[in-house]
Amino acid sequence: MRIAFVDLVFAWPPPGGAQADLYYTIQGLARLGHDVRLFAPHYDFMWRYGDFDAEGLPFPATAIPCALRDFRPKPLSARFRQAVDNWNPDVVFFGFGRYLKPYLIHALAHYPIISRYYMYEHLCIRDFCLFKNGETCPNDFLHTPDACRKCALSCWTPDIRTGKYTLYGRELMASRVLWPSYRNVFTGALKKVRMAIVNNAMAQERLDGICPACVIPGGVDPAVLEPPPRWERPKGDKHIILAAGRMDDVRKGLEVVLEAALGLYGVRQDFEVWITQPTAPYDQPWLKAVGWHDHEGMQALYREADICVVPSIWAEPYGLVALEAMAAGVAVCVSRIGGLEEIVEDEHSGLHFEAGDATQLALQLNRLMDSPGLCQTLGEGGRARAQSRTWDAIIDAYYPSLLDKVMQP
Amino acid sequence: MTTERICAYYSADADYSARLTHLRRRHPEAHITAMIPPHYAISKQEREGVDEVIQTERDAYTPRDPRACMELIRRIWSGRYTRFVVMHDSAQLTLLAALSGARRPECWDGEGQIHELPRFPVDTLLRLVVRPLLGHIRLIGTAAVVYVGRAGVRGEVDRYKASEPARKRDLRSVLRRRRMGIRD
Repeated sequence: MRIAFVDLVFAWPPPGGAQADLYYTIQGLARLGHDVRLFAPHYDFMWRYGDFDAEGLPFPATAIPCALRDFRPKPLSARFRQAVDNWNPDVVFFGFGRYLKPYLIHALAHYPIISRYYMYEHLCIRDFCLFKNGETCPNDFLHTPDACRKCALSCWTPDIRTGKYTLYGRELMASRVLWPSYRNVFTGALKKVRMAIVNNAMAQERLDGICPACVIPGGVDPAVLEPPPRWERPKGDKHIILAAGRMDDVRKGLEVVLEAALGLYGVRQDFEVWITQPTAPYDQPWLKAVGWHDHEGMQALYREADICVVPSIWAEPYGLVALEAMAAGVAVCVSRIGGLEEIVEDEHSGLHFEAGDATQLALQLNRLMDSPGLCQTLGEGGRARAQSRTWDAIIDAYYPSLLDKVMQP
Repeated sequence: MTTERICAYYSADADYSARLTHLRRRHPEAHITAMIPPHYAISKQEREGVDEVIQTERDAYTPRDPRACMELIRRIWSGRYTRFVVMHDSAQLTLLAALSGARRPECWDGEGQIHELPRFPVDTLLRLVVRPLLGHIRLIGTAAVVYVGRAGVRGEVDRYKASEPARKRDLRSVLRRRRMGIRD
């Protein structure tokens, strides 16, 4: 089968999880014998996105040049349509795209379409996070478009007023997202999708009655399973609690870990909290900023850590950090929310705590530090679960049946 | 053809390393200078990615100290850069970029965008005035579109507003919002 992959923010090396997800999906489907090709823009006005060497990728790719004046629905759709039509695929698979993606779906609607949603971009037009004032937002653009437009306007007001557009803001204005007509473009595109792929059950439920949707989790790069975990910790060491990920983002819940650790420090002092930030937000003896790390650096950190905390307070669609820590055999402690709840089985491959509840987190951390045996059991359970979630395993388990379903008339 | 000379001027809170990597990828033949403050510990990877590293005399420059600013500008001028890259689209950095004498002043912002900046100080000042003025006009128009135009769902109920009383009764939710500094 000829499968065209279309992604509006592809870059390699990947700036985020969505790009890695698409990369491994393409590679996996090529391994299954499909004829694949990636179509992605090469922006001359962006440095982080659209930057890839088409020749250096392990699969064929077409870079579509895109200047700032083309970053609008019509010119971008026309370019993609022309490029994809020239290749004439059997199926078009949409990767990440934000406000412009619905327009591209319309432009390529003469092919069967599979669309992957990595965040909540099919529900939330404000920032795709479906997270408002510390909680999962009950509104979504499919059911409450006017409330969502007002919410988006309030979020993007500084951009519009100052004329200094952030990337999303620029795309929002170019796509006329705040206009009433965008809702028809948006829902019309979803109705043309043969199968929407989402990361968790909540995202799937909200698409009921709009388009068929299935949950396909992301996978882990098999490289994170190497080297094997370090089960034994030298005696006398402090327990290392690692809070990995973009901890400068308030949704990631760093404050919850800090509050829990502050409470714990009154009871015991045999631990350190390591955060992946260049600087520590507070001056505390138990807090250490270990800076940003690339993939290899993170592997070294996981080997040092005894516990990895993923304290997100928003419904994290997937939670790759938790899965990578599990792959490294580290006991994980995650918020009971979104995709994290589905990846980590409570008491088997990690521990759960109520999202945002610092007391519960402190109790779970105390429990883990008191019991190295429990840490090892959870670490082993987590590693086994991660081993079953390598990209190859995910592709083999989900995609053949999905493609069959999509190709049915 | 003369080699392009690029200066990447460091500013605080920027992912400098990623920008240097991308600069090199985009301009493999160019002579790239990293201009960093004295406190900045440049990594081996960053050092290898550039042709020259220049340390400024101070960590931060402010217009209140014009002599230091002039010295910085003189130093930048002496580099004869063709492209001057700053990391934030702020008034001070835009002005610095315009004063750099480079043919192409640019801002590589944290989100991955590249903005072309005005080449001359007069344009910079004009931009500082005109851009917000146009922005306000555009905001009024957009707000009118949002509040007057309806997207066409009959009987739409704002679920967020509707669930507000329940949220205010939920202690866990109240504590979480308070911790995050959210006021209703």
